[in-house]
This record gives sequence, C-alpha cells and structure tokens, in this order.
Amino acid sequence: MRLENKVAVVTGAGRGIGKAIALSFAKEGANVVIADINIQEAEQVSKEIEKLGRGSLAVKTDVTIKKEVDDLIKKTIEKFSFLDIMVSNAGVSSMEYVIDMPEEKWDFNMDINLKGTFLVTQAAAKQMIKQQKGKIICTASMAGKGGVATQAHYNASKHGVVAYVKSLAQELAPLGINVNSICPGSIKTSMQDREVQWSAQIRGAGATAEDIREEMANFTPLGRIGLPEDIAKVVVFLASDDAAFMTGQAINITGGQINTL
Amino acid sequence: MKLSDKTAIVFGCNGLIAQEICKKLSNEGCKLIITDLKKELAEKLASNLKNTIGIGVDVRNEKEIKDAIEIAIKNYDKIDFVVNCSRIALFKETVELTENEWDTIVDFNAKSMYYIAKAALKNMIDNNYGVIIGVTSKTANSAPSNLSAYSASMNASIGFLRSLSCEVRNNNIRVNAICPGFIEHEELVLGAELTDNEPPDKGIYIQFSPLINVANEPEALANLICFLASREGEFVTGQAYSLWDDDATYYRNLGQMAEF
Repeated sequence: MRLENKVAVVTGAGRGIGKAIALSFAKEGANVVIADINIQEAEQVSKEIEKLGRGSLAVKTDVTIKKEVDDLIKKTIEKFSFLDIMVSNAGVSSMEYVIDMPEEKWDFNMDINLKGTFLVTQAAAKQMIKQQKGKIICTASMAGKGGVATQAHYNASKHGVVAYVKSLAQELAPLGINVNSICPGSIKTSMQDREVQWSAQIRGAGATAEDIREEMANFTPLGRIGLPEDIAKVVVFLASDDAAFMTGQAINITGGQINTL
Repeated sequence: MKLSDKTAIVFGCNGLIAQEICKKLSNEGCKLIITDLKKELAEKLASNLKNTIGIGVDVRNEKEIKDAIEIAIKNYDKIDFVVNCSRIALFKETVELTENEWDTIVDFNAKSMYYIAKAALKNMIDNNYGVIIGVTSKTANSAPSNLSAYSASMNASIGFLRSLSCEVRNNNIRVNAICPGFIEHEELVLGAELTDNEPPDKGIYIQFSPLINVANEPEALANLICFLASREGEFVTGQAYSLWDDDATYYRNLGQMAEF
C-alpha cells in the first residue's frame, strides 16, 4: 500500500471526484477526513472509509468560510495529530454567456473554486510548515488551460487555481511541501450531468444530454468519458512518494483532449 | 495613422505601461476615454493628449464602469477598443496573506475584467465590431513565489478572456491579453494603499528576468496593443502575448526586487 497510515483531508469528498479520491486513499492505507458542505453525504463516505478499516471523520465545511476551513484542519489534528495530504477539491460550475452573466454567478464560481482553494491550502500549509512535510493537491480543470464559450467565469476560476498552485509551490518547496494541481477533462459526475443538460438547453434544436455526452466522448482521443476513478489514480500517485520530485505542475487527465496545452 | 476614426476606453492609467498605451492610441488617431481610480491622474494625462477625456473610475464598482462606457458612447457614439490596465500587486507570502488582501487583489485585477467586458459588449455587439484587450502579467504563467494572489488573478483574467473570445467570435469582436514582464512600482503602491500595507520604497518594482531592460518594455507593449487593435491584428483572438520567453523558470525565487 502506498499511503499506509497517512492522514489525508479531501474537500468536496461527499460525491464525484472527491469521493473517488477519498476511497482510493483509504484503499491505499490512509486515514481520510471527509469535508463537504453536505454533511449527510460526507458522513456516508466517512462510513465507507471506516468499513475499509481506516480512521475517518466527516466535517461540514463551506470552503468559502475561513473559520470553517480552519476548524477542519483543527479537528483533523485533534483526531490524527498530523496532516500528510491535503486535497482541495471542492468545486462548482455553471453555464452562462458573459453578456447575460449575473454577478452572483461570477462570485459563485470564483469564491468556491478559487478563493476556496486559497483558504483551504493556506490553512493546510500553516500546519505542514510546522511539520516540514506535506503534499497539497488542488483540483483545477482542463478549463484551467483552454477556453470554451459559456464558462468564462468557471475558466477564470480554474486558470486562477493553476497559477496559484505554481506560485504556492515555489514558496513551499524549500520547506519540503509539494503542491500540484490536476486538470480533469470530461468526467462522469453529477457536475457533468448538470453541464450536459445545460449544454443541450443552450444548443436547442432538439439536442439531448446524451447527444452532448456522446460528442464529449468523440472529442476525447481515448474515445470515452472519464470516470472519477481515472482521476483518483493520478491523485494517489501525486500524494505518494513516487511523485516526490514533482511540484508546481498542472497535470492533465483528459483522455488526450488537446485544447489543454 | 492606423486607428483614425476609432474610439477607445482605457481603464487604469497610473503606470508607465498604461501611459504609453494611451499615448500610442492617441498618436495613431484614436479618440480616447481614460480612467483611473484617481480622477486627477486621468485628467492630467488626458490634458496632454488629443481628443481625450479623463474620468475617475473605481473598477471594483460595476456602476462606475457602466457610467464610463455611457460617457464614451455619448461623446463618441461607439466603442471600438477597450483596454483594461487596472492592476494592483502585493508582495507577500501566501501563509501571511489575509482574506481581505486576497479579495482586494482578485477583485481589482480579475473581476474588473468581467465588469468591463460585460459593460462594453452590448455596444460592440450592436456595431458588430470590437476589440477587448486585458493587460495581465507574465506571472499568469510563471507564477513566482510571494505573488500567488496576483498570479492567480492574472491567469483568471486570461482564462476569462480566452473563453469570452469563443463566445463573441461571430460578432466580429476580438479578445486578447498581453503579459508584461515586470510589476510596476505604481501597482505595488496602489496594492499597498488598498490593502492597508506599508507602501514600497520609492522606485521599487518587481522584475522577472535580469536579462531584460524593462525601461524599454512599456513602449513595446503599447506597439503590441496597437497591432492587436489595428487591422493588422484582425485575425488574432483568444491569445495571451508576452514579449519574451519564460526565463522566469530559471530564476526561481523571483519576484526579485529591483530599482529603477
């Protein structure tokens, strides 16, 4: 096992990619703290982790509220005394043309995806600096590198994460802390379920969510939509000693989609 | 003159880069509205340029931006070019950065881009013509230490502009970014002022390459903007241009302080 007895915190771990990361960590031997704004979902995942024989804790966390984020780290240290791995994964998306985009939509994406990353990684970094050890992994997106219509606010937030991670990695490198981001492509999650619905609506002309999903698969050289587990495998690698010499990177996990340089 | 009969609005003119851009646009025949958080600064610069009006705008306030766009349309009937030069910087370790400092930097640098583009787009779509240019930074890509909020905000702007370029392609509107290779003294001064920090010493700026003479850069960037705005750049959209390669990767702990 590659993460035996490590302590990991994953935000947005109640479902989707975050849940897959948390379960993969546990299967590799880690104790995992499940942070999510939806405490019921967090508790369920936490129970699954315990069934795998690992320690766990579910913490209701809104990543846009500094106090809740700081409490998350505090509770983790109270229970497990150490923080090896921080995965800042909580994220949202919406679709809107800029010309019609209400300010709330901009704030919703920027606050959770970008500012949430800042608050979560800052709190984790403070603990890791004390330890002189740690791994930070942030979920960005292929939207952190390329651009598509109707997601300018989401793109802005994910581009922000990519640059933020590079900068933080430079700061924490001398202290033995690795910081990387991942850029998932089209992944089958509830977020994607919503996105394909919206895309179909925006497209009109009788387009269905399934049409959009098929198109996404066709745009992907590996010929399929990704699964949360595809992402989790790479995150396990980044969290393990195998990735000890990697920092400041934004790793594409897109099935070969090339609008992501 | 490359830009006769064109009109432009430039947001933020406290730095040398913005001033060179305003001068270049004016010299190429463009009618200008220039704005700054400090009204007197915009007015002073405007008084030295032909066909130019200077007004005060806080780019964190959507209404003030909309009003500025209205003034442009009222005076010149249309807006052809929008250039956002509003940038503030704070040189500080991420673990020390306060939530308020983060918000101030991201809102001033990135959210301003959204407000400005949204406000200008209506007129541009009606005219089936327009060019939007964001002045961002090389830190969007090279992201040195102690500038995480700044780098994040700059890449956020680029991400926003890239996406926007796809949305307005069919409206004959082009959207690009340019990426200066140094952080101006004025950005650090305003950044300190808006976040209640001590201002930097006189003449301090941040450069990313010891190999480049930054004194030459503002004029070169103004030329680049003129190219992007003019007919010569009419096939360029969704791009983020800098003037040289990323030697910042070699000079790791940048953000080294330098003096003019």
